[in-house]
Order: sequence, then C-alpha cells, then structure tokens
Amino acid sequence: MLSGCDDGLAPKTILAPQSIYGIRGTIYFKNWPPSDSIVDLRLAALKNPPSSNIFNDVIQGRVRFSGTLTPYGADSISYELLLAPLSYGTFSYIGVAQQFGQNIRQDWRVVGVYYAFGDTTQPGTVNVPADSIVDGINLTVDFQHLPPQP
Amino acid sequence: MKTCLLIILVCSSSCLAVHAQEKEPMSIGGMVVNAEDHLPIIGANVTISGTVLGTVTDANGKFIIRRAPSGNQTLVVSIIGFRRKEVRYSTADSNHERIRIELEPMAIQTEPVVVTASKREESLEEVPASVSVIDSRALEYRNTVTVDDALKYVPGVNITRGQVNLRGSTGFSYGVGTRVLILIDGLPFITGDTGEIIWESIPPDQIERIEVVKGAGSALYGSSALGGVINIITKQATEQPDTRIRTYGGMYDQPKYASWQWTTSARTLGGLSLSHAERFENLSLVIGGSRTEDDGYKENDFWKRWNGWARVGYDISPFQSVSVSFSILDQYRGNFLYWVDLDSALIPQPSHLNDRIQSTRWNLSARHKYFVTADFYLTTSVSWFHTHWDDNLPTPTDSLGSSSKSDFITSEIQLNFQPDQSQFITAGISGTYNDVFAETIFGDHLGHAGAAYLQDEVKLAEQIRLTVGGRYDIQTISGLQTANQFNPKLGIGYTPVAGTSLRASVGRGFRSPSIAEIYTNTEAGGVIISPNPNLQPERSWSYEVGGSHSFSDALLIDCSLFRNELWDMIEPSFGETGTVQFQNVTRARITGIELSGSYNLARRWFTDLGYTYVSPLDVETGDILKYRPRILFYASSRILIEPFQFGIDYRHISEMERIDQEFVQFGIVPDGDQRIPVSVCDVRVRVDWDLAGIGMATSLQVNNLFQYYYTDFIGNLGPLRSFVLTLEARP
Repeated sequence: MLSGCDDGLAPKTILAPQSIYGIRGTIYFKNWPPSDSIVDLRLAALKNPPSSNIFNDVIQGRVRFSGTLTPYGADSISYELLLAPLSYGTFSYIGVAQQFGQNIRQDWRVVGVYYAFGDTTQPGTVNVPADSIVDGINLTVDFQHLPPQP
Repeated sequence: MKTCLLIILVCSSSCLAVHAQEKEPMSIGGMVVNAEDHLPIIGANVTISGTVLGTVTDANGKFIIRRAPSGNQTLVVSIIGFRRKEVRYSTADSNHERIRIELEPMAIQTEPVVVTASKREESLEEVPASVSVIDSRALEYRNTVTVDDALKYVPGVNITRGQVNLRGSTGFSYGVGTRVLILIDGLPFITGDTGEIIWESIPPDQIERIEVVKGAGSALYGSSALGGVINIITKQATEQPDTRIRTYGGMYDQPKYASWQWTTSARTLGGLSLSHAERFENLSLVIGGSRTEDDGYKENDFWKRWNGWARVGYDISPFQSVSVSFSILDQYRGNFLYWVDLDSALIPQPSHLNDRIQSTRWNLSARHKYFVTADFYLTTSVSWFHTHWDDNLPTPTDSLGSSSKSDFITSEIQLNFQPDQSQFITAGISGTYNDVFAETIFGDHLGHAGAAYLQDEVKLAEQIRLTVGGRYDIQTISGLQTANQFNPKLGIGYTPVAGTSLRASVGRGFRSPSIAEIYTNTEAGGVIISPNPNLQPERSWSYEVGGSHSFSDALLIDCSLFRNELWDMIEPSFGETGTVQFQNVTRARITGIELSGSYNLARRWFTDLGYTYVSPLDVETGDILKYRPRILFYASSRILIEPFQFGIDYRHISEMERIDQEFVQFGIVPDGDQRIPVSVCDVRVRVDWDLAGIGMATSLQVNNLFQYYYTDFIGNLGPLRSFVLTLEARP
C-alpha cells in the first residue's frame, strides 16, 4: 500500500538524471538499390556479436536500435545513438541493418559494419564510457558489397 | 435454423404430457427477522420449494406470496449474511399468512445460495469449486458504471482492457476471444464475431448478484469456460414497487506533470439512470434506461452510451413461469490505441486522433421454467445477441474503416431431477447458431454448435458430496473442420464439522477459437493481422483442492491450490510471414495458490482480503506467459456508522514480466516497455437519508486517491485520480 503513495511512472524528462552515453558519427552510402527494397533501415549496436537469428537478439533486448534512417539516395548522414538501456562499456558490433521485405522476422540483412582502424577482417570494437558520447564511429554501406552476415 | 430453435423452445415446454397436480391457490405471508436483535430483514429471498413462486421481503421485513399451492409446503429463505433456512408450513394452519422466520447471522461474506457451479441453486459450502459472489449492494456502494469495475476486487481476477484474466488463464488478445465465459442468467453473453465480452452492454442497475466460478467449467458450459465462468444474475420484480433514480457526476484530476497536461478543460464523467420493478399478481415487470458519458482522461478516449433494458415475467401457474428479457446498448466512442511516448502519455499517435467506433448491440432472451413435480423441473431458454459496429480506422482492404454484424443465438433445454434427498441430477442439450457478416475484416461466416451434458451429485454420506459429470460439444465454422470434445469433471466436497468445508475437483476444458481469431485480416497501429484458418481449439485439464473455515461467524478464511495444464494455447504472435496471427503457440502450465479472508467486527466493520500467486509458464520455453501478473492482492474495508458508510479499497498487481517485445523493439509503441506494479487505492463515503419519505443516498468516491501513475497496457496510462458524486432516490 505504501508503494501507492509514490507517484509511479513519470515522464522521462523529469526522471532522475541518468548517465548519457552513446556513439556518434557518419554513415556513408554507395550503390543504392531500388527504393521499394528499403522497407526499413536502422543502425544497431550490440555488446556481443549478433547470433544468426537477429530477430531473437532484438526480442531478447540485446540490440540497441536507432530510429528508421531515411537518407534514401544520400551520400551520407550524420547520426547520434544513445545506447541506454544497454549498459555502457564495450560494444563489439555496430552495423546498419536493412529490412528488404515485409517479413519483419526474416527479411533483414546487415548492409554495413563498423570497422576500427581500417581493419575489415573483423567488426570493430568500441569502448563507451559512462557519460560519454564516443565520436568518429563512421560506417560505410555499400549495397553491392555486403559485409559477412552473422 | 432460427425457426428450429423456436420450435425446440415451444415444443419442449408444451409437449410434456405430465403436469403437476395444481391445487386451490392460497396466500402465504409473514415476516423475516434477525434472530439476534429481532429487527426486520429487508431484501431476503423467500421461495416456495418445488414451485416457481417467490418474493423478496419489503422495508418492514414482510413478504406475501399469492396463489401458493395449498397443503404442506416448504419455504426457503435466504439472504447474504444469514444462514439459509427452510421452514415447513401448512395452509391448513390458521397463521399461514403470519409466518415468523428468524435467520441466524453469519459471516457477512457467506453467500447462502449460488446457481452457477452446478446449474442449480445450492449452498455455497456444498460447491466443490472456488466461487466468489458480488451482490447488488456492493455494486451500488462502489458506484459501479460497468460490471468489470465490480470484478476488480474479486480474488484471482485481473482485468486488462475489459479482458478477464482469472487465475492467469488469459493474457491479452487484443479484444478477441475469452477464456472466461460470461453468462446472463445462465445463458452465454459473448459476441458472435469477436467472441468477446461487452461489459458496457450489462447495466449494473439490472444486476442482483454476480457469481464467479474459478477453474474449468466446460463440463457444464462448454467452450470458453476454460478458465472459469462469470454468471450475472438479474433482478426480479416483487410486489413491493421499486423505483430508482440514480445520477452521478465527476471529473478526472489533472496529471501532476506538465508534459502530460494535454488540455485545460475539465474531463468530466456522468450519467443518469432510471429503473422500475413491480409485480402485479402473476405478472412482473422490470424496466430501465440510462445515459452515461465519459470524456476520458486521455485524448480521444471518450465514450457516450445509451442503455435500455426490460424484463416481463408471467407465472402461468404456481408450477410454470415464462419470462422475456431485452437489453440494448448504443455507444459512440473514440479509440486510444497507444500513446505518443512516455513524455506525451495521454495523447495518442497523431494517426489515431480521429478514430471513432459506433456500435449497437441488443440481446433478446426468453425462458420457461416448469416444475413437472416438486422434484423435477425443466428449464427451456433461448437467447439472441445481435451486435453491429462500424469504425473509421483505415485498413489495407478498406480505407474507410471496418464494419461487422453478428447474430449469436443459443438455446438450451435443461432438466433438474432430485430422485431422493441424496442425489441431484442435472442434464441438458443446447444448440448455437452464429452468423457473422464482416466483409472487410473477418469475412462472412456461419457457425453451428451442439452439446449435451449430464451431471450427478450424490451425497455419499452426511458430510461427503460427490459430483460426476461431463459434456460433449461439437462445433463447426463454415469451411473449416468440425471440432468436438468430451469434457468430464469430478468434484468432491467434505464438511467434517459445521463451518468447515473441504473441496477437490478436476475437470477438462476447451475453447474453440472465435471467428475473429481465425479470420481477422486488418492492420492496427502499424501491425498487420492476418488470418489463420488452421487454428485449432485449445484444451486444458484443471485441478483444484481447497477449503474454507469460519470462526465464530465473524471470520471466514478460504484457501485454494490450483493447477491448469493447457495444450495448443491460442495467443496472438508474430508469425513467420512477419504479421501477427492467432496461433496455437504453446503448451502451458499455470499453478498457484489463492488465499482469501473476510472479517466483520460487531457487524459494523467489514474487511475482505484476497491474495493470489500464479506461476503461468510456457512449458516448452520455461518463460512466463505474456501479460500475466504473478501476484494479485486486494484489500477492502468498510465501516458502518449509521447513516454513514466509509470504505477503502486497495489493489496491488505485480508487474507484468513479459509482454509483446516486438512492439517495443521495433519502435511500434515508443516507451512500450514502461511498466511497473499497480498499486491503487480508492476511498468513498456514503450517507443514507430521507427526503419527505423518499429514501435517498449520497456518496462521494475518490478513485486512485494517491494519483499513482501506471500502465494498464502497453503504451496506455491507467486511470488518473477521479472524483465522483452520486445521488440516488427511491421514491
């Protein structure tokens, strides 16, 4: 009954100050496909590499998604992605995912991955401290040369 | 088909060759008083055993039953809070119009007679199942606007947006299908198209009491009674004219946070209802109507309703009665699907700001009750529930919105036979016809169902009662395979000493999917819902052991352990095609314990407590089932200091651990994962007074006293604090 005496939920803007942390950078695009194949396009960050079933990773809350990116035809866009509610620390996979069909469970593929220091042999790792926005996390999406799929 | 049903109704009633021997009628009268203080008892039910005759005591505790059969008879007198009593009398006695009946007070929560568990009147302590009862006084005391409000404090019951979750049986299925069967006077009251409960079609002013039977009830009631049965018993007219005028008005408080204050205008709610009930010799009449409105505390969450109801009863003889009931609802409302986000929690997504739904629903039913002998009676009934709604929510198939019409007709012939004092047999057959016309959203479909059931209650010894029964159902929907199932049940009740009763039961349940679950083809809130013609009925086994004990008639405690095993459970989920479908998703197991207690101090301070712990698990994955809280805790207390009554209700519902994460992860409902336990307190004060001989009552209630903010569904903030003033007159 005592719990009924507090206020319960509140707007996010008045919740107790929380640590803000995330990544920021630019996504470069090449070789855009027909627009009707871009049902959705999102930036995603994971603490661990994704499993072969990205949908399950999403449902299990292991993925931090951006909102839908709408740069169709653009050469590049700037972004900022706050990573809460995932905890700060090491993020070992940052990529761009494209939904290319109407099947929200299956019709996804990775079209761009963040590589650190030009090493394209494995996805780059980013350490995100608390209260920090890590800048310079740039990715390239080449729709004709897709990265290895998880 | 409709013609066939009428033929069944007429023939079953009139073709019986046997007829009870009618004797010269007499009048029976008297007074019912409290055995302790000898004050008159108002509202006690008085019936003559073996006949359709009965009445209710008036404001002076007096009753009179005209045209009673002569000779030796038995009066049965019952009212909540007193021990049921049977009184034998003879019309040869000179005082048969001045019979004085004294009732012993009991724990106030003990309801003497229920009808749902076995389709006949029986003492609550004889029922081998968990039963909760809400009487009309509780509905009035809480100023109940819709019936689901009244169920909020029943142990084991949790309601999410009008869908009943009884001991974890149901999560949330977007307004279609129900695992708890709703009956009105024993007849099913669910819509033909969506298979849902329309609470607002049931005016609280029409209700005598509500019985909630927990656990699978399919052995007597068939499909949908998988998780339990809620039976709404309507009021009967008596010779004492009963006119009531009730009006209420109030407003929602402003939310505390500026970002939630979406309007500066007051959000009001109010209504006016009138009803009259009276009996003229062998004709009885109940008629009423109401207009209610609610602006809603969320934008585009308003509703406006007209309700009307009538019931005409006629006693053909002391052994036969017939009644016809009609109720109608006309409703216009907005549609708040989900919020913009937590910062704009009371505003819907812009695309839903102009969503509107218009609906008209009416129900016509008829019943004939016939005592062939004092130990054998037959009840024949037919009910027709028509629904029609239109909305303006654009779908992929119709940009102007959807529309649905359905006609759900059910009929039943039931016999009750008591060959001797140790045995009671209940048997019956029923048929259902369901016609749905909803071209764009469900399609046009016909459904038929038939069933036969038999139950035998046997008193093995003075303290042991055994119930054995079963029901066979067969159902078909046009174009689909026929489904059928036999649902047996076994129950045992044991009363080792007076005031203590133990019970155990096992029963099988099943539920056929509604037409909406099979055929819905639409888009709602960014989610495409597609048909699934391969959907199969879900099935269950339900087990329960429990017991109750009353201490010195002031304290009553009850404990139940229950377990439900479910197969092919139907849940909406994202399918392989990426759309939402209703699917037979899983094998589930729901176990739990329920404790409840009622205490009264000097019959002036009444307290009810209910605690339910449920573990609803998906057996295949080990996950908790979606939209099921584990813990329900309800507490209510009421103090009577005449002419005042002060009351407080508190409910705690633990956080729903699992919801449809897809809505959150894909951003369909921003901040959709914002949810916390529900912890809400309501208070009220009522005063009964007199105005020039007219009985009056005024009450003030504050709902959500502490303005606690919580979500009652994904992206939906629960009701804000509201203040409601009610005035009632009984000329």
